Amino acid sequence: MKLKSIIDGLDCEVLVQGRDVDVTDGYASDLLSDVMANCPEGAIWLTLQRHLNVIAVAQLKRIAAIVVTNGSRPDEPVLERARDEGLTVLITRHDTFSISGMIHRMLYPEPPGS
Amino acid sequence: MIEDLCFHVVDVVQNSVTAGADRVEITITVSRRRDLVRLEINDNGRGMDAETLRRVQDPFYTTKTGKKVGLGIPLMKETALHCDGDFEMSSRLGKGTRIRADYRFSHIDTPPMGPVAEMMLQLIAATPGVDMVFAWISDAGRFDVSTGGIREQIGDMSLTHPAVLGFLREYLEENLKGLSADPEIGPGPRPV
Repeated sequence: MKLKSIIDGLDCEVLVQGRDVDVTDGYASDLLSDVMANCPEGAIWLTLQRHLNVIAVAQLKRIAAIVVTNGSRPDEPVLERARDEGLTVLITRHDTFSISGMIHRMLYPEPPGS
Repeated sequence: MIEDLCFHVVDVVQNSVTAGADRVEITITVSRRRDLVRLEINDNGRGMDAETLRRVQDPFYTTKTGKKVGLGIPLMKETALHCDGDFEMSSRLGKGTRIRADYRFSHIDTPPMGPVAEMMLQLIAATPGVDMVFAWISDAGRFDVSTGGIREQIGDMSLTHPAVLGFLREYLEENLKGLSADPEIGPGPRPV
C-alpha cells in the first residue's frame, strides 16, 4: 500500500514529506535495539521516541515512515535530518495502540462478509 | 527507557535535596574513546541504612505518600544495566549517599544526554541553599562549575537575579558547547 494512501486516511500531521514508498508492514516499538533486530524493511514504524537516533535507525532499516505518537513532536534538527534522508515523519495525538489499530486495518482490511 | 539522561540526574538530585543535603557533587563523563557515559551524584544528606538502600532500588518502594511505586532509581538502574553498563549505590547514615550509573556510549539504547547547560542552570537557581558542584568530563576536556564558585564571582548580587541567570546560562552553554555537550549527538550510534 502506498504511503500516501495511509497518510490520507490517518488522523496525523505530516511534519516531513519524504519519498512516497510502498508500506508493506508496520512495527510498534520504543526500544531501538528491538527495532534494529526485528523491524521489517518497508514497515511504518510507530514510536513515541523523538530524538535523532530514531532517524538513524529508520534510515539503516529502510523504514517507510516514522509515526511519532502520543502528541510527541521531534525538534527541528531531527526533522531537518529526516528531510536530508528523504524520510517521512508523521506525528499524531493518538497513542501507539490506537494508531496501530488504524494502520493495521488499512494494511490488512477484513474481507466483506466476515 | 527515559527520554534523556538529564532526567535521571535531576531525579537523583531531588532525592539528595529532600534528604537534606547542602552539597551535591554531579559529575558527568561522556567519552567516545572509553565508550562510556557515567553519571555520578554524591550528596551529604542524611543517608540511608542498608535495608532502606536495598529497598530504594526496588520498584515497589517509595517514600512519597499516596504513590505505590517510586521508579526513578529502579529505572535508572535498569537502563544502565540494559545498556551494558553498571550501577552502584552506597550510603552511610548521617554521611550521605553516592550513586554511579554507567552506560556504554555506543549502545543503541543509551538515551541522549539532554540539555545539560539548562539542567545545571535550573539546579543551581532552584536550590540556592545547596552547593551544586558540577563537573563535565569529555574527551575534549573538563569543565567545572559550582554554586560556591559563582557566588564568589557575583559578590552580593542574588543568585536568582535575571542578570546573573542570563550570564550563567551563556557561561554554561559556551563552555559545554566547546566540550561536545550536544544533547542530541551524544550516546547511541552516530547518525549515518
